[in-house]
Amino acid sequence: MSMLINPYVFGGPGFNPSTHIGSSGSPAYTYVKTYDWLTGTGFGTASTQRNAGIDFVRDFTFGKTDNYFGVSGSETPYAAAFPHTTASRLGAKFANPSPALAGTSYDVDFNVTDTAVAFAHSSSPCVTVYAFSGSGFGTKFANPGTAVDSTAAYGVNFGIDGSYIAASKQNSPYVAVYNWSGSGFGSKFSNPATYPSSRGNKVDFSRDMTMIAVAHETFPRVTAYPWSAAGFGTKLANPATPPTGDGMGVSFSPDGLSLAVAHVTAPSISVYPISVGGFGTKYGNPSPAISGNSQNSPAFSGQSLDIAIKHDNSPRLTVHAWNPGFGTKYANMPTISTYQGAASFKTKI
Amino acid sequence: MLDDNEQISVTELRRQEVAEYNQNIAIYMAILKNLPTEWPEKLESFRNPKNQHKAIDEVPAESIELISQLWYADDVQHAIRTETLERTKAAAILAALEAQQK
Repeated sequence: MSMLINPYVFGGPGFNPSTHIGSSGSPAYTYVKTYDWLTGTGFGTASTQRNAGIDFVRDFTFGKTDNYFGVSGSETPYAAAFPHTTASRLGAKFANPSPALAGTSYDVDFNVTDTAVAFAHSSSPCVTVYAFSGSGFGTKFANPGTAVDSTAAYGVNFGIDGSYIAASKQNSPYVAVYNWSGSGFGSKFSNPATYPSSRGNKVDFSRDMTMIAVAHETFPRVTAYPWSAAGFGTKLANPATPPTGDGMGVSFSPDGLSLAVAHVTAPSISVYPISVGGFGTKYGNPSPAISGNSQNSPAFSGQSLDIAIKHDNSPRLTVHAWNPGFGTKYANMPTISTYQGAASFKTKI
Repeated sequence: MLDDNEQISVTELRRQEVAEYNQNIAIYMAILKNLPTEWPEKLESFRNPKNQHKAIDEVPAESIELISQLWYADDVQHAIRTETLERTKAAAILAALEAQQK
């Protein structure tokens, strides 16, 4: 008897391991490069460093098909993308998108087939999505019928099943989710019954698409909801020990068992067991302590065995084993960056 | 528990949300009036592609404009349905909020 398994649901052994990790800020803010990554060993060979041409790199992410690397930044055109393959690592930059984004871009995400790349940015329409292929940026998709925000979106995330796109944003209700298909934006889902308390900084869906979480300003600094094809469910009760400062980034582990929140104020990272039933007791803090605020989403490696944290002070990117709970810290990346824009593992879906 | 000011703010936001859905539905219905909706048999095979940007490369050049309109008409018809679906949820929450204020 055969058994159907949704490949997107299950993390842990059997799920693809991560093969690379991203880096930025060396030798200057606008440069990016990647390192080979091996769980249990850590940083390996570095790629060629590439100039993203967008000044201050705000965020970067790998595509999901082993082919691309996207970057968001502070200077026009605010968006960049590169080929990235296991064999060749980081290739020459693709031509800039046209039209350019309207303002500083804070987040970037590819859909599950890498046929669309989304940027969260300042100025209307606040989220811009381009078609994407082996030739790079394609035509911009039409903006959604209901505007994402009037000021800025700081986070954008495609659901792994390809049917949704979520944005975390400046103004109430601080989070918005739209249907997504090959023809672009669909209708916006009705807002959750209880909104996050303030500006949404980053948003993430769990891999099995049963939960959505927002890292945001002001108490409780992280808000999570069950998610289904009907939209937002009832907000989960706040964690017993909320993050100590504004939530700046959020990531579910691929196995769906943990939710990591990057935040300002020590310990800069708070991780909780999570399920649709609610938050569990916060895991113990990492040792050694994270140096400086963490102002972008943490990243779990593909088998939920490592967690990478971007933070303000040297070494700016710290990776720990994850078991679940913080394990041993890996040796720092070979070249410490002057600025690290994000934490991102490459995991082929 | 929300205080009175917070309750008014939340209710107003929900009113805006319902108004946005109403506006979208009205716009989509107006758009639909100016689009063809009948698919010629020779183009049926291009209906419902997974990726319109990829599929357009396969469409005969003389049919690109027509099929673009037909795809958009299908999208708009679907949008009217889903905007109505989401408006219903938002309107139900709004009705409950307004009832609490009475």
